[in-house]
Amino acid sequence: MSTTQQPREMICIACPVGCHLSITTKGTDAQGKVDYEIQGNKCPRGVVYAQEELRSPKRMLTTTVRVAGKAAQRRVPVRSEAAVPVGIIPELLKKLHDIDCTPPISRGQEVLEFEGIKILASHRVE
Amino acid sequence: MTDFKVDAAVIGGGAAGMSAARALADKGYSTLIVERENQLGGILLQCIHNGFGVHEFKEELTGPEYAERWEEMVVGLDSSIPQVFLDTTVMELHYEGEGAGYTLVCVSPAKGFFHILADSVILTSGCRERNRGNIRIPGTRPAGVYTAGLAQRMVNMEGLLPGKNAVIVGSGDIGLIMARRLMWSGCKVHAVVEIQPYPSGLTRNIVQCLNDFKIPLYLSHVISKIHGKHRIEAVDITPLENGRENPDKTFTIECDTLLLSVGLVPSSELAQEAGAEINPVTGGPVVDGHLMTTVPGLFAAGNVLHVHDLVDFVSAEARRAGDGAARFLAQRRGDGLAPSAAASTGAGAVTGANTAGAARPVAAGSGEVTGAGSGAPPPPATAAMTDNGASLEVRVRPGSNVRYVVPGSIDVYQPIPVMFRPMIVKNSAKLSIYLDGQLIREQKKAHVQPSEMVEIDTSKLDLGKMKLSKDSVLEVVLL
Repeated sequence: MSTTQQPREMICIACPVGCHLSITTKGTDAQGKVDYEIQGNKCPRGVVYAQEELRSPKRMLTTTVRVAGKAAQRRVPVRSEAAVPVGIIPELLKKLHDIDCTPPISRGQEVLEFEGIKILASHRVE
Repeated sequence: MTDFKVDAAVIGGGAAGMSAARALADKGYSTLIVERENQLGGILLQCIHNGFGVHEFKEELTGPEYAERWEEMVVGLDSSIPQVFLDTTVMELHYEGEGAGYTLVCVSPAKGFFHILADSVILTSGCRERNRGNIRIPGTRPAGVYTAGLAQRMVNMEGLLPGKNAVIVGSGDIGLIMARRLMWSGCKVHAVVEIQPYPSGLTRNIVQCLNDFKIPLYLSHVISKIHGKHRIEAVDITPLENGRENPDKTFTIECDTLLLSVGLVPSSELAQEAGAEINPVTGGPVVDGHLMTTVPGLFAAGNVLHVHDLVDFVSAEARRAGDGAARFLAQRRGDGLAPSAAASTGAGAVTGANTAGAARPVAAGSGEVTGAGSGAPPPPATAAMTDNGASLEVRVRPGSNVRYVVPGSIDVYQPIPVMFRPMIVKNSAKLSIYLDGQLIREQKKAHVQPSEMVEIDTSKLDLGKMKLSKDSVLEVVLL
């Protein structure tokens, strides 16, 4: 990666101020990790946010899963136990939209485990 | 026809209703929640995304989790359980006059048509969405135009997808969250169109709901036309230049769905029917420092009072309304007015409270105090009523760059937080509070924007030590 590339723009979401960050790649360090130069942050949290976002962006995943049978509630809301890598989300969604879940379902019940990621029900279904 | 009689009726079983009912039941008052849906939770149940509960539970929950946790706290405890009527709609709310309380005209499939008689009512009926008529979009009237919250209910609860190619009007948080939801559900979002020059939603949602999916956000743009006869086929989008549409720069985006996320208005019709004064800025009732409307014994909290952006604030506000109603009920009992049978159930909660009552300044006779209950026998004080009913209300008024303040006054002896909505977007802003024109407090705010409500801790103002008259006014200014 060259140092002459266009700086990447990013908005920090660590707090509501929303600093506009400008990121340039400085090359790789001794361990082969990409080294970034981050500018525009008003506090140190901006650097932490940008590095996490550049190296391994994660998001909470929430969707709904079909409820089997004729329950009045047709979908059960679900969430990932913790934030998941962005890259795996499309595959996770496909799996979640293909399964159905038989009531009774309780809040916190695991509805899917995929590559170590647990997906839990957000609300009971009787 | 069966009638039910309670100390307090709570209209609406969402975040606000559950919290208000819990507060009342904790103080030993017979409390009944009336909820029109078949489960408690209200709008939280369709807000499946996370970010709820950071203040109330110190963790990030999804809407359904927040609702179910509260439900367990409301109906899961052994003592003083609030009653809950599900599938029940309040059709009318009548104030029967001083000392006579309220009549709620209700219907439900199970009970048919019936009345609830209550000494006090807490209105927690939430808000509704502004729609196409409110923002006057020209064009044909095809199918496929939805409010964002309706689409959210369809996708998250009914399992229905409103379309395959959507455009969203308004960059409020509901619209942004629906953009991500639709992208994750197989409906492509082609644009978000915002009339203001800045986004209305949180930066976090702009980043995670739009930027993650490369959805363009058109600021200072409006939908100038809807195309399509039976189903929407496209929308025209026109930029605003100096506040006016520039038709030469209009462009068209094809879509089969248009979502409107263009604001919420309190569902305050029942308050109006009971005779409460409405604040024209918020659309909710005018309330005093105990969140009581201008009708004695009628309280309001949550989105029916003013539209909130954080559910944690709703729960906290409703707890204060519940406390306010408990105080009202205690005062009525102290005055010997219509003590209800449920009073005895409250006995456990009031033991030893008389000593607490003595700790408060008793300002009766000072001439500046309203509602001090002079001459009445000492009330059977509850924990909530440590002030012997004394109150001194000081008006609170919005100043520069403040759209509104709620409540419209605070009680100097029991000051509750004042919430306000900024009219400006600014980093390092200054919040100033004036009492009768004198600056009494200044506070720095790292960032303010209209979509983020600000809370003022009025207990820090030390109003009890200030020179006050019944005409005193607090003014909130943002610069």
